[in-house]
Amino acid sequence: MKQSRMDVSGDYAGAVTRLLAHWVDIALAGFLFVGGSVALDYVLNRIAGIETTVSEPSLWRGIAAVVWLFLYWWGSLALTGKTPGKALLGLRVLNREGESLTGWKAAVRTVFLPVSYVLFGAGFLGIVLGRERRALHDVVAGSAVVYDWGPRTAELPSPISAFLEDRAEREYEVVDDS
Amino acid sequence: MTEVDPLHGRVGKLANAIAALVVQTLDLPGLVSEIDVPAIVDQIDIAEIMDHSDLEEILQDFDVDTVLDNVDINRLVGRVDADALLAGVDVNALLDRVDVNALLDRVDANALLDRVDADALLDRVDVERLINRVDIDQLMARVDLNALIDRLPLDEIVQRAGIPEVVSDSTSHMVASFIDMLRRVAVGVDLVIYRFVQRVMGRDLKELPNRPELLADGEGS
Repeated sequence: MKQSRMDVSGDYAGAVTRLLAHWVDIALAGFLFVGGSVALDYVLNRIAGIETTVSEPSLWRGIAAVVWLFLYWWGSLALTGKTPGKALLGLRVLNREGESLTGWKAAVRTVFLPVSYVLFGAGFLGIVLGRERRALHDVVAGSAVVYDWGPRTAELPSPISAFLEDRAEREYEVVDDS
Repeated sequence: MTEVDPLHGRVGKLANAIAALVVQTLDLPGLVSEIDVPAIVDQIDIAEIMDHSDLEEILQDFDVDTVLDNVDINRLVGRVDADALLAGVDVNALLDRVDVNALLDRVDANALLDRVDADALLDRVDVERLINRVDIDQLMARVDLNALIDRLPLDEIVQRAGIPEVVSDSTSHMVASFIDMLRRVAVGVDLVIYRFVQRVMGRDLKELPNRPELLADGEGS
C-alpha cells in the first residue's frame, strides 16, 4: 500500500514540538552549567590549588547562571538560528518575514524569553492561540519558529496526511514514501 | 770350518761349465716365444691354488696404499659402464637402507629453495586438478581456527574493509530515522491541537497563514 506524508517544511511550528525543544534546551543548559561548575571547582581546587566553592549556591553563581543561559540561547540562535533543543526537534527561528534572525533580534528574543513565563506562562499562549503561533518573546523580537529538518523533509505522519488529503483543506506538497 | 768334498767340488765345476755352455748354445728368446702362455694359464686351476693359499698372510704382506697410489682412478672410472652397473642395482633395496632424516639434516633447504624458479614451477602446476584432489572437509577439520584467528590482524582488516564507516553510516541513518519518527509524532500532535483550537475559536483554517511570507512564496528557510 502506497503511503504518503505531507511536507510541512517552513510551516509555523506548533506548541508540542516547541515545548519539547524548550525542555531539551533547559535540561542541556542546566546540565552543562552544573557540570561546568563542578569541573571548574575540581580544576581550581585540585590542580590550581585555589580553595573555592564555585559549585555551591551564591549570588555570583546565580549571576553566572543567568549569563550562561543568555549565552546559550543567544549564541546558538545568532549563529545557527536554532538552539540545540530546536535542532533536535527540527525547528528554526526566523524573523517574521522568513529571513534569518539577526544577532540583535536573537538577543531581544533571548532577553524576553523569561518574560513569557510570567503569569503562569501566559506569554506562551500565543503559540496555541495566535494566527502565526508566536509567543510573547517572538512578537517582541519579530521572530517566528518554523519546522526545518535540515536536508530532510519535515513531514506529517501518514495517517494525518491521509486525513488532510481526504479533506483537501490545505494545499500541502505530497512527499512520496517510495 | 766346513770341509769340502773334493769330488763334489769337481762335479760342481763341471756342471757349471756345462750349464754355461748350454745357455750359450740355446736360443732363449726363440724358445720363450714358442711357449703357449695362454695354454699354460688355462691349465692352472686358480681355485685349487686359492685353496692352498693363505690369503690372510698374503694380504698382510700386501701394501694396498702403494697399489692405490699407482692406480689412475679417472681412467679406471672412465672404463666403467655406468648404465650396466646401475641396471644391476636394486634401487628399492638401496633406498630402504637410506636414512632419509639424516640425509635431510645435511641439506641446506634455504640454498636449495634459492635455486628453485618458483614461477616456472607454478606454471607447471595444474591448480584446478590440485584443488579437486583436496578434501576440504578433512583439511578444515585439521585447522585450528582459534589459533588462526588469533594470528589475524583483525583491527587492520576491519579498517581496510571500511566497516567502521559502514557502521557509522548505518548508525547515523538509524538515529536520524528514529529522531524523524519522534518529530513526525510531535508535528502531528501540533497540527491536531492547532486545528482543534482554531475551530473552537471559530477561525477559517483556509484563511490562516501557514508559514512566513517569504517562505510562502517558495523560498526555503
